[in-house]
Amino acid sequence: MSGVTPYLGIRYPLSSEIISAAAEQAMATDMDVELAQADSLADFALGRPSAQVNAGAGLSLVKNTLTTVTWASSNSGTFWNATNPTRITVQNAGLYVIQTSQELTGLSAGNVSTFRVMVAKNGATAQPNIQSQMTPQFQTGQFGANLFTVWLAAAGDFFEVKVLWNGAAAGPFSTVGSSRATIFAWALS
Amino acid sequence: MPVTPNKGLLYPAPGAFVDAQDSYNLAIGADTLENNYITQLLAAAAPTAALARTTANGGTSSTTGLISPGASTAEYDPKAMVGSNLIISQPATEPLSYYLIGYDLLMVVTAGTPAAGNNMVGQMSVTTTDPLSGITTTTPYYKSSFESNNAGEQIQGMGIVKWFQGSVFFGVQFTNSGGTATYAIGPGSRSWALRLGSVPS
Repeated sequence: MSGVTPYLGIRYPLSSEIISAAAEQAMATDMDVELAQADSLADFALGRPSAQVNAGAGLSLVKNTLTTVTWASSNSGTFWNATNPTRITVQNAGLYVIQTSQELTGLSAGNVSTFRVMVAKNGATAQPNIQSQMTPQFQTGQFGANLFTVWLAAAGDFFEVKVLWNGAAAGPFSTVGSSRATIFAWALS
Repeated sequence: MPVTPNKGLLYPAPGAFVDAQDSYNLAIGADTLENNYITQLLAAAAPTAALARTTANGGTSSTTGLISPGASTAEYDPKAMVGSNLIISQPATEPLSYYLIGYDLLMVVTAGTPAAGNNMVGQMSVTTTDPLSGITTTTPYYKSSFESNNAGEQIQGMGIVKWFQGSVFFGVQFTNSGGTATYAIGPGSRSWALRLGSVPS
């Protein structure tokens, strides 16, 4: 019977055996499997699965109405497609970082406003599958809100960005077209 | 015996009699090297990190003060870093490292009516113990704040810390400017830590 190496279990012929083509094939097959795994791990370590999605156009926000951002393009076909334009979908289970920047524009003095940005998992609108941040009150000019979230995701889980504006003015107000979100895999489980 | 130029794997010379020892040399050499590479890559593929989430209301306050999260669960914790109440501790086996740590806290109103002008300040406090001196220090980091009289608001904060063995505590400081509301940190609040790398010695 063949021996096996201590770490990876690569088969090799014992000193008492006659070398055969089958024994060499077994060793080559075992080496090939381990090299393929190392190759896959190296791909992840050097370039974690990631994507950036872009809004393309501003989003009109009705006062006090939670609105889902629709993405228009992405640099990756793995996480996003035009069939479900609001969704960033995870292919491999793991720990993911999702960051988004949103800007509200068109405000004027005297109209105190607040702006909430949210990342929601699998269509949630309440805990535990939302993470969000509300800005301090503001009045004029453009106002940006950045959100940085960390999630444990299963294959097939999807994430959406939602925003909510509220304030003294009647509105609506719009986000700017440069809003975007980025997802990258911190660790694969 | 000749060896390969990159990794020094032993192989039989041209024309030599090939026996099982040659195959063994090759297998053992590749086995040791490959195991080293996979060990390093596994560490890169699953770096030290933790994600915790609360499952119930924690801490209540109707006056100005620091309140802490309640019961929590570990959503991602392969290195056993998550304790109770969103507390995260660096594993004892890790060297002095840089971490990106942060929180996302949900504020709930458990009684009364919030008044306008109430100020909420989220914060995290890092406790570190210097392994050489044994001195323990606690430093509040990365506060984030806003005014709100609404229930259900969330507050985020994060930052990079240089971290010895020790713990990170997450909480919210209230400055209650009026009203009779009682606040708590609600279920679904999160804390997390992502190891960025070792501090050069």
